[in-house]
Amino acid sequence: MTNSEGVTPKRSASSFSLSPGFWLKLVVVGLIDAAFIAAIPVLVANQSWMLFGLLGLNVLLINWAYLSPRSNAGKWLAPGLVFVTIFVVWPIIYTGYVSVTNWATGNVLSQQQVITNLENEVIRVEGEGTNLELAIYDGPEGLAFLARQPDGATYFGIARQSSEEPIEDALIDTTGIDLTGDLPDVINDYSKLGLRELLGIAGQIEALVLDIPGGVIQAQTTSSARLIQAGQRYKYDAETDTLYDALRDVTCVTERGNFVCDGQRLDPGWRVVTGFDNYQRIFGDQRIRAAFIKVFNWNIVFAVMSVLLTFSLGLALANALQHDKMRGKAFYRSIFIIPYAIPAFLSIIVWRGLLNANFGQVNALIESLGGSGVPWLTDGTWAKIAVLGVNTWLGFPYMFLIMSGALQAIPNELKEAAMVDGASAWRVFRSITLPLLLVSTAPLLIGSFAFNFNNFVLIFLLTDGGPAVIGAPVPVGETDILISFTFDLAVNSGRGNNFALGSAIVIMIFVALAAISAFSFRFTKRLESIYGN
Amino acid sequence: MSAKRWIREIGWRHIVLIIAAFFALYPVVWVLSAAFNPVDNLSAARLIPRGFTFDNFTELFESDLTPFGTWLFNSWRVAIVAASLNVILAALASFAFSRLRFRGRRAGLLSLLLIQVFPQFLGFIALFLLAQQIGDIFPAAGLNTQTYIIMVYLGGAIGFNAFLIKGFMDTIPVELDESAEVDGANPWQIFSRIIFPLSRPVLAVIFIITFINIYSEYILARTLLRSTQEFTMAVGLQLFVESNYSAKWGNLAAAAIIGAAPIVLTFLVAQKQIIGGLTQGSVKG
Repeated sequence: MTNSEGVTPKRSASSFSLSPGFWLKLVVVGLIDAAFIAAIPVLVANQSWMLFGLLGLNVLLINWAYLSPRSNAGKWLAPGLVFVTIFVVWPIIYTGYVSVTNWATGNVLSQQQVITNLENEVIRVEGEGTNLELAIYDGPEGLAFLARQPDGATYFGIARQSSEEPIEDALIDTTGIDLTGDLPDVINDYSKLGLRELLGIAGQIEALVLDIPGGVIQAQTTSSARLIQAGQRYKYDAETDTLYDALRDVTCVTERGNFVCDGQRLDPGWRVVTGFDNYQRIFGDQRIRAAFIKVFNWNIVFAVMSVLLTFSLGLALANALQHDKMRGKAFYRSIFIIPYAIPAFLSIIVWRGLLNANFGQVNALIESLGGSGVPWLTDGTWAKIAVLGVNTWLGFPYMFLIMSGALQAIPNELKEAAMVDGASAWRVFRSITLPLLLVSTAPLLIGSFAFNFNNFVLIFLLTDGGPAVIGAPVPVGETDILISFTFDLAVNSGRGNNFALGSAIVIMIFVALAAISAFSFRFTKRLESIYGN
Repeated sequence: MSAKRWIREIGWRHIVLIIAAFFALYPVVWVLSAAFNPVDNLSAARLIPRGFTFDNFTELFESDLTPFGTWLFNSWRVAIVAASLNVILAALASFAFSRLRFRGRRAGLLSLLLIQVFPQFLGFIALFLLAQQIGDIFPAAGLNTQTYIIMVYLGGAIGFNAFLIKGFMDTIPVELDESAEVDGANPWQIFSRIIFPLSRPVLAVIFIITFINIYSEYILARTLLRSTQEFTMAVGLQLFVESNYSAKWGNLAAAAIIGAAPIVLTFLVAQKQIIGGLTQGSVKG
């Protein structure tokens, strides 16, 4: 190997060397482009503009990275960058967007979808219900009905599920086909269903209808149908953005993602941007605010106490083990690592069983020692103590490991000098060891605070946020922290999903984390300038 | 030293540590006891079981309501696929940050660190809605699919891992690249024949840590996986808790052993490396 004291050959723009690697690149990028182009019609049909933009942007990025002669680092960064943008960065931005909408159960569709649904509603007219003779055919477009009125008039056309949208021009021209007497086995490409096939669909038959001008024909059995004269109930007027209700003869106006008719809201609604409504609700709506503040306060207390408890226990153990003549260091270390090594969701579920008030082993132990059982998970105060206790068990090993390392890094000379000056052991710990420890581990302590601030799995699996606060307007429990409260609001509630309100709270958590990080950064800087290490 | 002095200097330390060891092992001992205990409920459990049985383990794989075998398989599959791809993509990105000079390099590194301030799971609502929309178009990669959750996890820790790997790659002497370049190697060859093999130890540690984090991840799995067949173990085990909990104690203990044993053993075997990697600023509860 020669040292590159001389001139290194200038890297050629390797994008245009016709190596096998280049062809492979071309094929892969081509496939990605083809897949995206193939998806465009579906994306447009579904009106998924968000997805369209997100995927399009990333496809462009890939093309640039691999095909542009000017990209050199892009080739290395693109694969990771694609996943980071879609699944890490975009969710943050998207959460912000959702938080300023009214996106919740009852307002999940687009306005166009809502209008289509409403315009499909029909008014049943009285006196309808002529009985018809029916035959069912199967063909290229699916099932088809042939319905014959007593006077001989026939309708032949493609049937649909009554829940689907009406088919325009469902009728198929049967000019020149004899439809009197016995019905033919084959009409155009359609063949009549036999008895066995009819039995196969007999269960779903009543859900099938055939659209005819001014009404529908609804199947009743496999061989009879009824004519239903139906009229459209709602008509949307794009000019004025209003909806006319023919049944009640009122015009409905658009208001914040719902049509409102005479002061009555019409469901379903659709998604609209409503600005800072959700944030105003959290701070302005007396009922939500009370719950939110309660949760927020406990969240802070929980995170601070968790750090304090794990820190104290971890430091005490690290200190106890910190002695030249101690035997069994490796043995103790291995034991203390175990709570840290077990995946948290497993140990939390086990603790939940151990803390069960009636059958749990913890109460059995207390009772065998002569005490009386404690309602660990069912009483508000005890549940908080249980949550902190279990979190101490989960978190002290980490602190123990950190503190062991930090203690070893403290120079012995300092301590010895203090001892010579006549300081007691406690005084040495308080004035030398602890401050130095705090300086070296402050970022980790703050990190631990941030982690516990969002310790969802502990709260959710141990108490599920409970016990419930009685009479609260939103589902909230004594041990709920912001993230578990949000989870129940957004995706886990029996009362529907409030994505928008949940997202607004998540955004506030983001703000809190940003503040914690900024504080952490400045705090460490200041400590370093004081202690100058 | 005299016994008195030993107690004063060393003895009390052992007492404190032994009490802490009891606290640390308390749930572990109960799980080990309940898993092999033929009496299958909470209250009748005794520390020293009257009998010994493997029934709790075999029952796990027989129930259709709680298909534990499927969950176990899902957990391992998701964690292995996502963690290995994650480490590979992070290694590629690290190479660029460590060896190439390009516009936006510093800004890129800084953003990687900034993004890490916000844990990915906070985006669970957005990720849920994104999954719904993808599912409308590609049902195979939308809500309630392993594919989607693998992609989510894959994006999750790339930034942080790339940062750690870059730190390691910076310690590989640049003379190695330069001499290879003189011999006519292109960047891809430098990466695949020099840098990547030399980074293997650190990549292995990061793979293990990423694997464990994904294996234990709860909130996203719970949000994005909706049907029993698709659950990972983290989500599935809740079914033991929700229904007849007292009657499922033995099964739960057995499940906990199967779920935790490989992780705990890995930890104890590779203690130094894993803890070294974990305590570089990443925080676990």
